[in-house]
Amino acid sequence: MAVAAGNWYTSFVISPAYPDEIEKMESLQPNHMQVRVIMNRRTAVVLGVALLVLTARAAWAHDGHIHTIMGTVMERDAQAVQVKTPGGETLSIAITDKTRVVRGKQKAAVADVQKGSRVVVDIGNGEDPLIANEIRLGPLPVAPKK
Amino acid sequence: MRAAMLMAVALLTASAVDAHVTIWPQESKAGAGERYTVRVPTEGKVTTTEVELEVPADVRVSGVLIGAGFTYEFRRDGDRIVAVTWKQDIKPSEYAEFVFFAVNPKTAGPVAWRVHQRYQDGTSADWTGVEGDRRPASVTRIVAAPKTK
Repeated sequence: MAVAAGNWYTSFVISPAYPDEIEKMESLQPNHMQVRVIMNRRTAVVLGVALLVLTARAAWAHDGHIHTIMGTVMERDAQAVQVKTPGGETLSIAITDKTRVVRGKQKAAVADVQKGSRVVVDIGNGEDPLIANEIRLGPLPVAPKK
Repeated sequence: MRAAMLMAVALLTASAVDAHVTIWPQESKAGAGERYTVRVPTEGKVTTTEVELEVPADVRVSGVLIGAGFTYEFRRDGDRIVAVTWKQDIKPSEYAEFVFFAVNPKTAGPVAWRVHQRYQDGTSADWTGVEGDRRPASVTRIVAAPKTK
């Protein structure tokens, strides 16, 4: 069998469990005893990335589910942030010492979450009580040029 | 590598939306007959007992796929089906899928599917919000059908 350059070629031999199976397998042609897997290198990269993403996602999601809400901060104290969503609902979301706050790729502080801030909040599995795993802040408003 | 990135984004998106009540496909053609699937997870600790779909005004539901394990009922306004309720116990960490057939609106635009999920303890979750809300309605984007010569 010709194998194109850049492909991975792997051959697995099926191990028989019992002596009579060995006899049976020996009577077969070698091709029947082997399962050949040809995996394109690019496919392998895609599958690898997919596996990493799924693993990371599961780790972040706790229960395997991610809920995010977005909206405007109406109030914030040390324990909770009130966010008004696009549909007009105001949600109270607890802030814990595990809550991460980021702005773009930069880490930010809970103190940066101020009234009027536009936020996207990861609320884990979305069940009550709502707890903020991560608060993503919108970009800072740009001052108009004079 | 570009394919890998696209797949990663797709997986991130898919796993995020899986947590909600969603209706598939999320894109279809104007005026077309479509087979839609309502995907219902029970995310909390209380069993889901029924799911009610409000049929948008410009969508015509023609029927549902029958199957084992659930019952369904229609609410009608004259001849028109205005809501479908499927009843099935969906335990925590389980998903159910219900299929219905419908004719899409003749014009392009978003169709928001309002769904009410009811639980064994008498509580409910209304998937009727907009994107960014805690419980957004699932949306199917209706695109213009290609013109035939």
